[in-house]
Amino acid sequence: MKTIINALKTVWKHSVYRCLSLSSFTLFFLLYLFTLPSSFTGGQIGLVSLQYLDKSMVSLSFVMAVLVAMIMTLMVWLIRQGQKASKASATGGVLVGIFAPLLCCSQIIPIVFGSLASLLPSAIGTSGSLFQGFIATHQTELFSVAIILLLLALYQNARKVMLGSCCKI
Amino acid sequence: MKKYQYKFIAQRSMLIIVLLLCGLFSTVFANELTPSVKAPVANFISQGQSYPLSEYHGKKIMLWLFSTWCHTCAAGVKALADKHTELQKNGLTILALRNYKNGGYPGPDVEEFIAHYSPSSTQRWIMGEATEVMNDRYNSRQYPDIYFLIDEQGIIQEKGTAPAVFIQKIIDFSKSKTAKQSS
Repeated sequence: MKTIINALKTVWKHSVYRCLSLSSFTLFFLLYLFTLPSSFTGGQIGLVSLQYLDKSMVSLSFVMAVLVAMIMTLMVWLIRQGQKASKASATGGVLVGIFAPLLCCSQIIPIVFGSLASLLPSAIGTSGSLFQGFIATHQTELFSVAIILLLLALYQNARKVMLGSCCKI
Repeated sequence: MKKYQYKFIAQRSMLIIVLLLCGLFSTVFANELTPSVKAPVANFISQGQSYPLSEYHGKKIMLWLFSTWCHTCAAGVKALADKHTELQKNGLTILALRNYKNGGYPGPDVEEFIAHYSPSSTQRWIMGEATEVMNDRYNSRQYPDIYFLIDEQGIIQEKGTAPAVFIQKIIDFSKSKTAKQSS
């Protein structure tokens, strides 16, 4: 925790990084607000999504957007310092957070698995429904995984910021 | 890596991509029910008995196939229950049927699911489970939910997923005096 706070203090000394944090937070907060309710709209994203927002979705969107904004700022700082940023866990966290509600109840998985099944019917079979059912019934767990991945990415990048130029590539 | 190895990998990759594209096209353009087509003959199970869909010939019906693990379906139950009085007044019969084997993933019974999301206003819905034949004919792609608006002549006038999002289309269909002619 101390590492993260110190890293953010270091980076936020510069106004450009404060602006970057704010703009990425706004962007990702809006993105999550529109995509999280898509499990209730059959994958449709738009103003219709906002009707299905509840307190838990707004809180989740807020938490994930704050984490992504901090990670983005640290990553940009590291890259501009000529250091290597940790991207894998951050990407994983963002993708899980966005795709879990999108894939749960939309037509994407049936179409993709249907096309795969036309090539390998015995191997694919009805696994599309199993996959979709699993996503739909394990949304809480999937969002927890997304948050854990984002926290991990935040810690990894903060550590690199604190280690400084020793990790320069 | 030698040149011929690159060529071999490129050829194999191209073959896989072409096969996947063929699969995608065959899925997208597979025999799927489209509006203006006569609703195929199929039965469903309600309270342990088998009923043919043709039993509702002469009535405007909404045939809705859904899985009880799907969030869109829960939102659909709520939206249809909210507009229940209007839909009923306009003479729309709602056939709320669980997909055959619940779309391949376990979940609650249809009555339990509907009662959970709308305890009172859905008592007049016809609830049950689709047979395998009905699922094959109406939901061959195994969508978590799909609905069909079928007119008095048994012609499919509209189809879609997520009734909560398209509730206005359903209301408009229920209000329509005469059915559109099939093309």
